[in-house]
Amino acid sequence: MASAPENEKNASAPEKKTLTLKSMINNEEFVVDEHVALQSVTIKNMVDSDCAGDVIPVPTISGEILALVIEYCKNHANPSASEDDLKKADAGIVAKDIYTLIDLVLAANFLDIKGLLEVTSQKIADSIKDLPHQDVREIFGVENDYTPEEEAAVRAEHDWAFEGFP
Amino acid sequence: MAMEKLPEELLMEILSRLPVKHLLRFRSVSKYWFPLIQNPSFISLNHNRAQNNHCLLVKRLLHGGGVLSLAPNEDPINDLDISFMGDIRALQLLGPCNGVICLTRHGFHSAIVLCNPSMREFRVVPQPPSYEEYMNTGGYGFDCVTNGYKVVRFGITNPYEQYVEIYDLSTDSWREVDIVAPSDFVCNPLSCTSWNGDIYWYGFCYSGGQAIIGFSMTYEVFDEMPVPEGFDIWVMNGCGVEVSWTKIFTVGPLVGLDRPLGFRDNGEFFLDSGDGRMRSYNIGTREIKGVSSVWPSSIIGFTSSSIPREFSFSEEALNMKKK
Repeated sequence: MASAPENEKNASAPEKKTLTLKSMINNEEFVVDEHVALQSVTIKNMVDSDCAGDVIPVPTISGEILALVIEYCKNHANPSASEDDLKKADAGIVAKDIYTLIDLVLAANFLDIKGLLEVTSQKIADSIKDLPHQDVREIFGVENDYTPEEEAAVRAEHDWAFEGFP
Repeated sequence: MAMEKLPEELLMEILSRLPVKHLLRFRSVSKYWFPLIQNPSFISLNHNRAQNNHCLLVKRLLHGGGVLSLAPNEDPINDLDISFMGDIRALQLLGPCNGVICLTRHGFHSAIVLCNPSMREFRVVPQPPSYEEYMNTGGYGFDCVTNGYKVVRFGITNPYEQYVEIYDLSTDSWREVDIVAPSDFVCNPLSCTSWNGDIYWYGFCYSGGQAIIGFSMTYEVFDEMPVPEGFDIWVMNGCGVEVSWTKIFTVGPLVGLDRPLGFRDNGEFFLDSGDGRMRSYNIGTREIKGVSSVWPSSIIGFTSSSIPREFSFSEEALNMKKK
């Protein structure tokens, strides 16, 4: 999956450095071109301060999510990709269920990849927009700490916004 | 499903991308979400992420009355209940400024109400000192030095004398200012718009030609600026003497279309035709369409925003409604 082009056509180009990212959740490893991985500010800081060994352990991010992150970074490291291509590719990456998106936004936040954070956040917002607030509670794991009376009072302030919602 | 709780900054990153209407609903999620959504820094983040928040406020005149409707980009058009304002046919829409629009009428005894259409909230501005006198027009904007919102109104007294009054939202009070509006200028009271906090009116000079008059909310001075020729879409850059215009789009020729009213994101914009009817013109297809069988008189485009609680006095407006 994470195969870099083996043969460099341009012989004068310096040899590409690679980094290995390892998910600490399921120990999956990904070999990535350094310039691809450096789109993560977190990884860049580690490399810049010489804290990065041969294998960079990535805690709390599963292999499944890490693969998506790397796909995003590869797309955006490609200088010949047009804005349109990138938009399409981004849309493909975030065409996932809401729980995967939440894992992805946490990963983008941890690895500090601004573009991925933004596109994922927007997708989450678009996905929850038309959901009843009760479902939103469940998705975000938020406990309802209102009493029924308090909740009714908050709702009554802008009752019209609830038209068509339970 | 058990889930790792999102850190607050991530939650704000996501929620700030929602249209105001849904944010109002999501205040019901929990006591933790409520203050987060009310927080001023969240509000400005949401306002700046305009993607979901472009709206038009449309005043349409019908036989025997008028309606004020909110036309968000995605949602269907909603009519706002502003029956407490009485007959809205002569209503002027001033602003917008940070999602708020000022409603008033030129003439005598003009009430002034600030309206946040997206939250359907209103704040009644107290009676100005020259309430009994004739008001030409007014404006609503933002003083970027004091970070305060202001309403300006100007007109003439009997016997003839010009007056200019300013209302500061922060002190909830009016004061008269010792300046005069350019006397050579006749403004179209429906042309008021606000940009970067300052206010602009379009009109004609007695000496001939068109003009745009600006009012700086920060320095509280009037300023006259040049107007580009023709019926095209221009973008104004800078302000005051620094002003320059960039033409971004050539319209037409459009026979019988008079005054541009407002844009929607889909490339459609609304025009007032000479007979007072509204038409929409699609920039892409160059197609002109009639818009319902009503007479519009004003459209104002704005980016919706939720606003801090202190701002809105809906109860006052409700009381006005009952009277």
